Amino acid sequence: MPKQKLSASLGQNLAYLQQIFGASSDFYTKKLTLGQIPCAIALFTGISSPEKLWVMALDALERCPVPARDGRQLLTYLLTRSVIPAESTPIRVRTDLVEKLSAGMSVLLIDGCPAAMAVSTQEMPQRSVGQPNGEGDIRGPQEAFTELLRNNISLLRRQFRTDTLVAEVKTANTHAKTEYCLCYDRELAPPEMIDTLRRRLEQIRIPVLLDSAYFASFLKQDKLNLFPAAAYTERPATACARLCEGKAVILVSGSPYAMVVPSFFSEHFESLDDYSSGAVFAGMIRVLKYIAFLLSVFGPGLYVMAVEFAPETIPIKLLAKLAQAEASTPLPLMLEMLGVTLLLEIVREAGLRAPKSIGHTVSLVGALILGETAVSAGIVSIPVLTMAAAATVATLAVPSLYEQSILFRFIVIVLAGAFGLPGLAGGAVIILAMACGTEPFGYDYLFPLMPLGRAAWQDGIVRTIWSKLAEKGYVVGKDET
Amino acid sequence: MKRDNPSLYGALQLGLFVNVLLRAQTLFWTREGLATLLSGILVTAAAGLVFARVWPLVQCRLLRWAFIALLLAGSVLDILSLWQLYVAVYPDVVSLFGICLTVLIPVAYLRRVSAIAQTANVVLGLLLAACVVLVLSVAERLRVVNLQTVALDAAAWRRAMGAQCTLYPELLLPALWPDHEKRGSHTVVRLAVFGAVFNVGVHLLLELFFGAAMPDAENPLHQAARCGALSVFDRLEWLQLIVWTMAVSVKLALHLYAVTRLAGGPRTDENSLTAMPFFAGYLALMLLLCAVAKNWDFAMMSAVRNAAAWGFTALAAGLGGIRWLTGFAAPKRA
Amino acid sequence: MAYWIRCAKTCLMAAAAAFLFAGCAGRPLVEREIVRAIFFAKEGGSSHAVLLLQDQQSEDSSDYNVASGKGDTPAQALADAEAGLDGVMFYGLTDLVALPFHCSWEELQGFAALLYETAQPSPEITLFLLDDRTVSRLQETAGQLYDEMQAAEKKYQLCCGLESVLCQGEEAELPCWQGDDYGFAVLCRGQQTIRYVEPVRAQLAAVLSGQSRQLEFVFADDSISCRTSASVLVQAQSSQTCVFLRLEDTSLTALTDQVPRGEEQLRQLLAEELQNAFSQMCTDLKAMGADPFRLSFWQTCLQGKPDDGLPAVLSVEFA
Repeated sequence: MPKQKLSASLGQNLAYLQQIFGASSDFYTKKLTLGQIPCAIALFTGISSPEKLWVMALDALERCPVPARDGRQLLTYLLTRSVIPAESTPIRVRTDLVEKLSAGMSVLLIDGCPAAMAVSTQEMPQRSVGQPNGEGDIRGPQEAFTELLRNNISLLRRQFRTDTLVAEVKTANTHAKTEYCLCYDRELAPPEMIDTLRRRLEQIRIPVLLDSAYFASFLKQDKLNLFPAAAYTERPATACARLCEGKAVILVSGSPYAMVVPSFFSEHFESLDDYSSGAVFAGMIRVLKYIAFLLSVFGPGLYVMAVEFAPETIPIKLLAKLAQAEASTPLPLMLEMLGVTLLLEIVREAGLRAPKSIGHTVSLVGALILGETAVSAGIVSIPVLTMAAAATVATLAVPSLYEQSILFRFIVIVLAGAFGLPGLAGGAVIILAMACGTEPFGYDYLFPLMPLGRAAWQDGIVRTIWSKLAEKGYVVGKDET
Repeated sequence: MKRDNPSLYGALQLGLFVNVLLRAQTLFWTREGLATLLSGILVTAAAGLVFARVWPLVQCRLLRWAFIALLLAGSVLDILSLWQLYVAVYPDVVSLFGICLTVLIPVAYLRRVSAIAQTANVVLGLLLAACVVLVLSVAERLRVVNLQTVALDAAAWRRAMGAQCTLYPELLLPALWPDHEKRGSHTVVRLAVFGAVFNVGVHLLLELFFGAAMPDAENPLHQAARCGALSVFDRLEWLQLIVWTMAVSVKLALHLYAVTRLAGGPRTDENSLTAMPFFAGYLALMLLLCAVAKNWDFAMMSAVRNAAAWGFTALAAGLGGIRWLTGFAAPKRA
Repeated sequence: MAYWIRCAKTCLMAAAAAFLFAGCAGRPLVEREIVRAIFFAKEGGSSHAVLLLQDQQSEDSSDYNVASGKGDTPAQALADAEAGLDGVMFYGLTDLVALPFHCSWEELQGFAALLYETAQPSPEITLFLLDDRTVSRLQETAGQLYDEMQAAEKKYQLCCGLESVLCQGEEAELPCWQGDDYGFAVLCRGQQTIRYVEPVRAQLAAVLSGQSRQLEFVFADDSISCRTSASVLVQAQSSQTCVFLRLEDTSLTALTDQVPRGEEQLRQLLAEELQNAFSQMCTDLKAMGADPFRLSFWQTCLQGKPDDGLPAVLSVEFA
């Protein structure tokens, strides 16, 4: 649809705005004159501040004479010679006018001029910069992104004080015209990757864009692959670190989570504390996280496989106890394990969604029902409950892979319970194939873990000391192996 | 970090190791194997190199389908060998259908060349690590005095030579994708060397363990692994079986990739070579072939597969030679 | 094509769901009869098999049940014992198999073949030759015997698995269990079995054949006790074969006043005892035509050919 241009008539422009927004009580217009030329301001009072407009623009105009004889001259003067911090590009089409108003800007319409001026007077209620909720770190910056895009860009700029940071703000193809920002370091990020990413983001058409994760599905190569196409972070510090690695960060207006692309598997096991702590301790914690991930995915399935198909792998003293526990429960072991895992997930989901006032009740009920009464009633056995609980706790050691851990765990339990050893092997190959087959923008998802090389020991499985790490930082695209 | 043409060397090497590990019987004493090692490597490497040289000249529709049949037969043999091993360990628990599903379905996730290459590297690492663990666990039962001091006569030499000259499809596959193998002709030589050395190494391990009883042991590697007792966990054959099952899946994916290339399969921009409808047909075909062949003699099938591989290579070499000669002898056109 | 793909996917999902809800192919633990040990015996011309089973009703892992069977052959006896049980036999945790004391080499091969076929998933079995006792006594004392033999295996670091029975062609060596201590037996095709029950010879033979690494006995008319770790090195020379027995962490204690107390003298006595035992054993084994110490292997490797006429001497070294 061709874009409709603004009319030179102030009245017609105002009538157009009244037709669209007149029913909204927060839509405000005010006629005024500047240098004897009729003008009008328009803004949304909820997201734009008339006081700011007065301070930034109207007060100055009131005190200084405006040397303009008609509307066009007035606009030229305001844009090029006045001290008003207006947007450099005038608004010439109606869609842009609506977009600017919706973005919280104030718009000055001038009679006799088929263009308008926008002034950035956003003042909307927003959450202050607080601590991140989803990423627990002891050391390092404790700031988190907020819902306001401009704030998030400024938080990045504060950390990344070079001229190479590029922040391209664009409007997504959504019904709500949500803005997003593609950030990258123009010297470190591979140009072809950025071009591809930019092109793909521009091609995405979705009804709503409420979070950066909405983009993830469109950026994924293989839709059958369960591994995430991107990583997410609430911390500007982490986003800054990823920018230094040549990656791209996507911020979406209204979402406090930044999306990092491309994302590698090993990044899910890294945290800011790794680089603040000593190398040995950091390495140990990382190895622990890998073990926790393997335990959370394969632990319950391995238990089911061992007890039902290969009891020779279990020490004899433990076997007697397991046999006793198994005899006292009615369900086959695989269904019992699936049921307990499912129940734990229900409790987790209930605890997450329940209002804070009754959240503690959920924990109490969950612990009592699952921990005490189910075992006492003989519905579930203690070893199964212990194994499932251990796996659930282990999942929380790597929270960014939580969804994948749960899904893989279910798959492995079913395969191991149905087919035994070959089922477990098949599940392992499927998971491994998914990880190996993921190619975010052509890069190995398993870098630097595979192929096992120097990079894996420098900053992959473990971390080397900072003096060595500083010699060679790995940048996407610069290490072609 | 970024791979445009990932090397399939790891997958080929893994396939060769699987051939050795899944064999139900041993083939020679270690002394015989060592004596014929070099000549076996030379023969098999030469066959692979000649095939790699002549294949671009002779690849016609008939030879392509012959190669496809050879690969499919090899895949069926691998699945049935694995099934036989599981039946020996867990009788009445694991069915052929279950084995087929669990090794074939993961192949659907190994449709991309990069996935095959990367997964093969990981599984190869796991296999070697598992081998080290298994060897350590039976270390106290390996006795040098179990080595047999048999004299090498002509019959033993011939038998060992015949075993060393087994032509596996993995030695012919590099001819199909020269763009993936940056080492060129060295790929086939390395494969032949490592495959033969691994074969002799496994025989050495088994002879140290079984002594004079080695030729009679059925599935000897599994029987040796059962005595593995390391730390808290006894019996390590479950570890062996899990890793071998993973290796067989990767090998099947490699063969499927080769079949797809031979059949002129669809190529997409996303490097996903095997389209899903093709995979579904492949799955059904493998299930059918396994059901048909499950009662056949596997040793005979191995021998037939080996003979067919040699025959196919000889035919290709012959045709290639004729093409080369006629191309050499034909008058140059103006 | 899309329709057929959808059909294929639906069929696969249905098959998967069927497997899921079919209760799976595994077997609960309580349905398994976990065999810990098998005792074969011969009584009145028939073969007997006594199975020592893990008591799954008890939390204590050292509680056992016993099942027995009888038949013309060991295979039939074993099948008879299995038939009397309700659950599915599970040999994956079988540690020990005891064979009849007077078992010949040929019978041993039959037992080995039976165990290879029957015991699945293949377990790590230790073999013993058990002294003659009645089947009823065997049934009563099976659990105690099992614990004792396991303790001896640990104490003397015995390593005699099923594979070692068949690894030397036409001869085999096995530990024996007689009374409450272990001995050593050499079985050879077509020959009488040699059994050493006296502790010095039995343990020395076990060490020299690679089955054990520990010596613990009393000698010199029960006047000196010895405990030591042992390792063996064989050096084949053109004129003789030297067997070096290296003893480490040797602890020698005089038990009576009649023996010297000095360490050197005690060691001297021990060395003499071992050398006498060795030479006597070599004579016996030469007459039998057996070579459990694999001396001919070293002669072939180091000298190029075996020579049965070469004498073998034992040299004892103390670390």
